Amino acid sequence: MRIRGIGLLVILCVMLPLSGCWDAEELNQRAVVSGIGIDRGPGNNNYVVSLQVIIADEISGKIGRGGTPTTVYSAEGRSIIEAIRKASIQVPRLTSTAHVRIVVISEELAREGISDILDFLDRDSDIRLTAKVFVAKEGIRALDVIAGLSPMGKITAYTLAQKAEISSREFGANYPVEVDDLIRDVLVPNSGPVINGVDIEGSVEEVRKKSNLEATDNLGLLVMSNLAVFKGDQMKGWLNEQESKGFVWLRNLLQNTSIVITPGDQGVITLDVHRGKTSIQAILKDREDPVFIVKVMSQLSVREMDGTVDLRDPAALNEMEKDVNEEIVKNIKAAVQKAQSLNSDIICFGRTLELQHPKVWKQLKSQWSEIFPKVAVEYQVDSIIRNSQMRDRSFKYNLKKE
Amino acid sequence: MLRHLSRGRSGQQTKSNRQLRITGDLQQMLDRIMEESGNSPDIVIRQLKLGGPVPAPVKAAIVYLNALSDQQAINNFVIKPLMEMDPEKVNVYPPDRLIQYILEDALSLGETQVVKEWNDIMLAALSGDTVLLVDGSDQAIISGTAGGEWRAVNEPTSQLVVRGPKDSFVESIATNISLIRRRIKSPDLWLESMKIGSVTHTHVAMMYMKNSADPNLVAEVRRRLQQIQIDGILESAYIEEFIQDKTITPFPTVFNTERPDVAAGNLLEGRVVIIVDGTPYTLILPTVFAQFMQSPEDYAQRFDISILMRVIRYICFVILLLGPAVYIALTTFHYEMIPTLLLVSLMAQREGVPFPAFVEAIFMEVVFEILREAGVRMPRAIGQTVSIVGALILGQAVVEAGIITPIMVIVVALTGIASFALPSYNLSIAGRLFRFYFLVLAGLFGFYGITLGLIMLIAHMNSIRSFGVPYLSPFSPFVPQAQKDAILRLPIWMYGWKPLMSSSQQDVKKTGEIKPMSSGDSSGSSNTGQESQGDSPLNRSHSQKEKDENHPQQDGGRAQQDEGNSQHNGHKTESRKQEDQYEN
Amino acid sequence: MENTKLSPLQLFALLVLFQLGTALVVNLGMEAREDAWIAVLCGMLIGCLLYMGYAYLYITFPDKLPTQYMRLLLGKYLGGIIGLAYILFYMNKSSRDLLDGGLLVFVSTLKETPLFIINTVMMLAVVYVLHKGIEVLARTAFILLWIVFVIGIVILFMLLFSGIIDFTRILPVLSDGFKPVLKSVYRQNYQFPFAEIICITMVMPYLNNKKAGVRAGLMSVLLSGMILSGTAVITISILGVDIAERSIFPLLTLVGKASIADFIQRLDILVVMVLIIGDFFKIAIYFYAAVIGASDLFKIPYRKILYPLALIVLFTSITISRTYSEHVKKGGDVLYIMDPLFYVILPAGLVIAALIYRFRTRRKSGTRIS
Repeated sequence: MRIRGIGLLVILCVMLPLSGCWDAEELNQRAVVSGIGIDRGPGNNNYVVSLQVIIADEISGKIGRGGTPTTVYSAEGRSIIEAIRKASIQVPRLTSTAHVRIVVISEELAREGISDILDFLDRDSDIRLTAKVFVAKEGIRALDVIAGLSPMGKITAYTLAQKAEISSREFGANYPVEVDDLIRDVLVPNSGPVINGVDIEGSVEEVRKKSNLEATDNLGLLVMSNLAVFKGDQMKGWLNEQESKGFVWLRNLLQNTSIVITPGDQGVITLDVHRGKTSIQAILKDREDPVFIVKVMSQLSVREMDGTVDLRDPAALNEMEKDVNEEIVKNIKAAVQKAQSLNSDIICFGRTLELQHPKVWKQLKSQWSEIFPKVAVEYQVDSIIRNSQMRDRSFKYNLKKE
Repeated sequence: MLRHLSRGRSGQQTKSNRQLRITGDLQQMLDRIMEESGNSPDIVIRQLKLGGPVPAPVKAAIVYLNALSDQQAINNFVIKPLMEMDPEKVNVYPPDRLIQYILEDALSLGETQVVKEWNDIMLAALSGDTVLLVDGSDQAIISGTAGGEWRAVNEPTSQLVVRGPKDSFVESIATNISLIRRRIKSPDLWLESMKIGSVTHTHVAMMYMKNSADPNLVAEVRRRLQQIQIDGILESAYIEEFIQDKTITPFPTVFNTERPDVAAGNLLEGRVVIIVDGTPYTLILPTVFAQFMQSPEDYAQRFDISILMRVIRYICFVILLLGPAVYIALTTFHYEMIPTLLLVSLMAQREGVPFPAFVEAIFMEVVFEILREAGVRMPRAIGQTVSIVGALILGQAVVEAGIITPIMVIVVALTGIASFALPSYNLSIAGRLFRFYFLVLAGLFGFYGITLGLIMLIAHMNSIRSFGVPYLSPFSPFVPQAQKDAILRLPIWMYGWKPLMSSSQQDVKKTGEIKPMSSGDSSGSSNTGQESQGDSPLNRSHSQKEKDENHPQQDGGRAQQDEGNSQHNGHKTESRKQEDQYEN
Repeated sequence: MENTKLSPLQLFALLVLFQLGTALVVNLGMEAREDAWIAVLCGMLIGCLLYMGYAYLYITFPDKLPTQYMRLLLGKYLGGIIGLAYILFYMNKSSRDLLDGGLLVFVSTLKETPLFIINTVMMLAVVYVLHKGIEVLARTAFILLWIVFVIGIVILFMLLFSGIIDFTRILPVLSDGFKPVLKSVYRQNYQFPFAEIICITMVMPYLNNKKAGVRAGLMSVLLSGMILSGTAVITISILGVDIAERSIFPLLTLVGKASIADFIQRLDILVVMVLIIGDFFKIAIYFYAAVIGASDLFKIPYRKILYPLALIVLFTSITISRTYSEHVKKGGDVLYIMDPLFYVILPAGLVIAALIYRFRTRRKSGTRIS
């Protein structure tokens, strides 16, 4: 028995040097990719994949040479994974995509159809499903976005991802889209995903240079843009700002935004939305013709006031609320109309119908692409102005009195 | 200062194959003594003449070792009474009768004994007792006069506490026994002693509580002690290695302690304590893993703090085992788990470093072990400083030179500190050994290796038994009652202790009258200790089904004791007072 | 047979880890799409029934191994052949599970290491623990069950707090009626993993408390059924049916989605740990059942036969399928025809035989057989 034990031990020890730990890879032999950009190859059907690789020294090491914190490698291939592997002729280390935060797709490619890209993102075990997706506005390549530098935050991919989140919280015309949202939305009948747009303000050339960061007002800046609407896997159009806001309302993703109203002679009044809750109800007037009622509840507070309205007066507040409701309805209506005109059920009416009247949905499912553009929608908005920050009347009120 | 020569075994036979008995010839005896001890100048032979001149004075001699014996006692209580004996009686009695007379009427000492064996004489003399030889008699009297210098009772050097008793065992077995007796003043605290070591004749004593220790356990311990064959016992560790269960494991299966309160607490729970002359470390057995994570401090503080401390200790053990391994696994195999900014920082650190992470880790761990060893050897005054300074400077220099990444130094330092946080030194040694094992597994297979290694380690720990008790009680054969003191330390008043009744009290309780103790003590449902422990082994039938989880029958009883217990190494006497306070 | 005793709690731990072992990893009941959780619950109920059948055999012959009472009931040769068939069945299952676990590790973490090495290491660990005996295995199971629970709760909280759960994805319930559910149950759910606990009948003679042991087994089926059903719910809630049903290891994907404050991310390694532990126990118990049966049938001491059989299992795991899809297909199609033979038909036959036996012996001796 002893001999057997020793024999086993010997075998194990022999195994150790033989095995050689195939999978172990030192950290400084990895090129950690933080963002991927995908473009169409010039004049052919290939993909040009750009990889934004983090240079660790520049960010936190002591031996930085003063270069840029990230660098971009791009390569062309017939499929995305082939392109990434091809990039290895440029990258001196192992391309490691587990920390990819953003995926940028050029508009050209988006219009053609993103199903191959989605398959790659879905299947790959390294890339996380929480990576955020963007569409680069026409005129800019994904490569340009990937190559950009930002003044706050060293890794551009992360700052872009953060921009999406923050702007969705502050402005309400975007919402963060992740890879698995895309995949799920592509499969919804007659619908498609909605993806944030990215734009470069200013000079495309300058945004990738370090010299850009040396001035306080940058010559080029990466900014969030409006939402891109897809039907299936093909992009159909952009929502403008108003439509984007309405869309976010509809999807019940609104966190904070501001609403500007100009009631009569009171000048411009701006209110903040604190909480918005949207629910959609489907009512069947007759079997073939569902009507959707969009109910919105919101709570607001007055942020900026130009006029002399006395906010202590509930009647005045009611007036303002009416105006606000109108404004919100305008936005939502615009979004609905755009969706209907593009014939893409991005506003999830179909899903609502499915949840509330499953049997009817079963019947109508196959005809949804005909029914959807003609569906009637009603709006009920109820807003409440809760407070007005620190003052209840503008100082102009006192001015007026005099 | 007991010398139960006749009760215990007297170790190995001496090499002498001369006659083993005392002869009546005094001069021959004395010559033999001188010869066998090599005319050692510290053996004092004092010749006496007993009795009066008519018809002839009886020649006698006392032999003692002047360094080891109490000179005062010898002078006052041996020599003086002998000199003052009634000559009438002396001359009248034949030598054997004379021995009796001296024993009964002359020597004014407490411990005396009559022996006939040569070995007993030599042993006694070398232990500090006084040997009285009378010409013509083949018996000798041994008087207990042991004295000599030993270390005073001091603070313990290991297992320190902030609050709690600060006395520790010393090298003299008599003092040690007294320290325990002082805490447990019960007639049920039984003591057995023997001499182990054919050359050193080291005095070894075994203590246990009669009515709470499992008789099978006691018999087993006795048997194993008696089987030891070695020339000398210098430390209790020798005994430990002889008597522990024959499983090959780095984990300690016998607990040792320098603190009498710990020993007393364990005695009350039914364990056996082995005290060895010449070392302050006593052995306590059987033991389980949870015991190595307990510290007497736990009972001196409030229960909520103690729970936190205990949990931290367990976490420290895990850090000790897995610290470097997890680091290696994360950085070389599973980089996706590291938050990106940390990853960037780690990458930057790695840039200039020539060695792969695995080599780095091994190198730093070995260096740390070297530092630790060096720290132990240093004289007290500079030892601390050198090890701390050494560690800091070495760590700093190595990072500056770009050989090791700073994070590696942090990981190794954290592991080292975690190993010092464990209350028991033996366990931290085992932990240190295993961290290399995990390190290699992590280097080969990443987290997969760590997981499998963890499974194998837990299986290994489960297969260890300490005198029949599974090592991972009370977790593994799950005894809910014992959870009160394993990781958590519930408040004392929740333990549900019943006072440990002595057997005489038990007899009273049962029959209303005091009966003489019958052997085997099958009388009475001896209500030993906490109700969680259930009955003593003597009444297994009552609580068998509750306790007997998965033990083979032979250690059913023993197991009940040890896992049903709230294992407290602490101050039970003090805690009783606390208990009273709670009830106010 | 070894001379050890297991407690009901340890049996419970063994069984829970066994059932969760590979079932947590793969897709359960995806044929029923959103209603997979219902399918799992149904499978659980059927599993309970089957378990009562196995338990009945145990109670009738509490001290005999299944190979022994098979021979007793069906005669030496027929019983021996059926016993041998079961042993081969268990070994096959064991090596399939080894392959499953190895593939999981291979796909998720160790992409470069040869599959053979991964399997060898796992098998070494299994052999090491089994060499020490079933008691050590059971006690280890108990401790590891706690660890698995703790990790599970941590993961659950992480998932809850990352706000990625959307329960509406489960709805509508039973939109296609009950048929897909039944189909899924029939094809897969009651067998995997619930009926697989038949191999625990080889271990049950070691129990020290019959009634409590049987009850512990039942509890384990209920508990693991509920955990698996809950997992199905969460999987679909987070991923949505479409992604979930196409995923090979949906649990990995969904844990990969959870991230809190950008700091705790990609904790799928924890999940892999849990799965390795579960898979370990599945392999170990199946293998142990086979070894004990073989040891009993061929009268070879348990520890000697352990090693050769381990080698057989190891090599079989590499050779049974060339590709992953072949492995899945065999598991799905081939075995679903063959498994009911071992899970339902043969045990039913044995139960009937046992009833007859009891009846006959009771008549013969006029006293009850305990």
